[in-house]
Amino acid sequence: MSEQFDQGVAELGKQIDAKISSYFSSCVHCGLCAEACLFYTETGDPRYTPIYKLEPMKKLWRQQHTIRGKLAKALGLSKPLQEKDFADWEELVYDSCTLCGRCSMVCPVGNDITYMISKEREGFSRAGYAPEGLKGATQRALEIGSPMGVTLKTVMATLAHVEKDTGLSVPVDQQGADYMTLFSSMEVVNFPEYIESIARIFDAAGVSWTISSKAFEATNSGIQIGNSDNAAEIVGRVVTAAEELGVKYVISPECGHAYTSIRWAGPNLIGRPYRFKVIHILELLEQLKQQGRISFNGKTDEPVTFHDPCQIVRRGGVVQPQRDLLNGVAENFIEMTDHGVMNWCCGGGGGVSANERADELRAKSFDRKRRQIEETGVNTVVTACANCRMMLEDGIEENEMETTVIGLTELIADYLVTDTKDQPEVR
Amino acid sequence: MSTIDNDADLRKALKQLNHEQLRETGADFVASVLHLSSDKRVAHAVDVARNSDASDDELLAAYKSARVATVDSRTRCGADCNWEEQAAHFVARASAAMVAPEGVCKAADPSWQVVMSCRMAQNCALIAADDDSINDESENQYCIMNDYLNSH
Repeated sequence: MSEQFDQGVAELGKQIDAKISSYFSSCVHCGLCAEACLFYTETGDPRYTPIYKLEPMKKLWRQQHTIRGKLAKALGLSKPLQEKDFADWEELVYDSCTLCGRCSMVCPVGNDITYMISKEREGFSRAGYAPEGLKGATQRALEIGSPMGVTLKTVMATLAHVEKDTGLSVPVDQQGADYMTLFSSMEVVNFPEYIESIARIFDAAGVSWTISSKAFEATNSGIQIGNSDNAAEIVGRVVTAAEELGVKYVISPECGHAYTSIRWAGPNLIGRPYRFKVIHILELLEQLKQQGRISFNGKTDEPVTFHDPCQIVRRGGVVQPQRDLLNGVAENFIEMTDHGVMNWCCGGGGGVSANERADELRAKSFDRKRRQIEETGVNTVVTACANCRMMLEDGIEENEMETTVIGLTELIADYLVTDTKDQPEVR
Repeated sequence: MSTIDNDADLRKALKQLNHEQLRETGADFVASVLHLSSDKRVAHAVDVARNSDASDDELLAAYKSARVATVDSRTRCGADCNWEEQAAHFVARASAAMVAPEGVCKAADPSWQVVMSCRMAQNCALIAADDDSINDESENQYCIMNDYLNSH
């Protein structure tokens, strides 16, 4: 056995906290988590039962924390974890879990299986058993500041493009601004219209905002691969930048796991509360709408549905703002079945989309989303996560569906009243 | 004599055109950045858009093909971005919006999507070349539009 594998097993052991122990003790083997997991429902393969993905960790827990397990190990009836266990389970831990949290919602004894998988990933990544795509993304995030290799110079070039096209100034390193905005690299690379949209919306609403040259990236590959040290380093850059600028709020963009990372995991990772608040862009847009600081000059008559990004809705708790916003710009908003906190994942969260090895399985699991969309009978899907958007577009093309995907913030910007004479009175 | 030199006037001018004319100007916009893509599906979309005799079926087939090219060419989440390939992605995206039959492209303003995607393609090409010069694709587009309006 290699030294790195030993370190991985030691790390896995360290991750078994009181919650993990109680979860393993409480599991009643009902199998309900299987029916909640799209990798199981779309393949019928019992290996994709969420709790089964935790077998290596469960084995270690038994041997270290139960009398029967300790005895079995001492008598040689239970073998210690082998490299083969990690090699065999790597695909289950990374390729067939998007950390979507649907399994945790249905567990009758309240086990947070997603939390357990995250903890298991800590051991696997320390042992070197993680997908190459995620390893590369994490390395780039640490060295360059972006999992996609987006440098500050690139961001500035994109901002210059946005400024030229909108005629608006995009503030950078504005000391004392109210809001510091983060982007995901995906928005810089693939969806720069998101950046343009918020520039237009914030200008119309008179929002005091800035971008930091020290921390513009919202995503956190450390969370996805399962390396708390890396995750803390990445989130720490955002915290330092926000506190140096003295902003009141940090805005998490249209990216699912970025929100979980900065809003919920961040303070635990750095070991202290922030001196600012974190708000998701959808929460802020809804606030601006409620305050009368933005209004819309019409609605699309195209029937639309909404795909709920798991990390924003189920794990993040932002459920209603996107619906109120969408109803403000769409005449005919049709919900999918199992929408909101029980929505089905796009199949690419939790680092799965960065993992080429998982492409075939991901494509197969998209069948659930295909059925959900087709049941609504609409041709336009709105979402609020750049990664979900890519996964939806991939699945739509592969399935030759006549469907288009739109980002909610862009849709809002399309119907934004920009002439102050047309603005409703601010109360 | 048309003298468009800003986006507001460009938008206004585009709004005056019918769908066939938008396809013609869109083809001119995409052609000016076509060298950034080596995808035959994209070049074919420009050819179809320029063919005034193209049938609805041909337009739809070209649109679908360009849309697949768009999805094929973009950078996946978490991957190290290759800006030359990303430039080609935006050319493909522009070509799909350009050739889409009326009402098929769901962008709020498909003709503006063509304009913006061409500019993003040029932007990506400058990033790939580590070129700090200002992206002048918008000025180029004003010239293209002026030429089109003055010749029709």
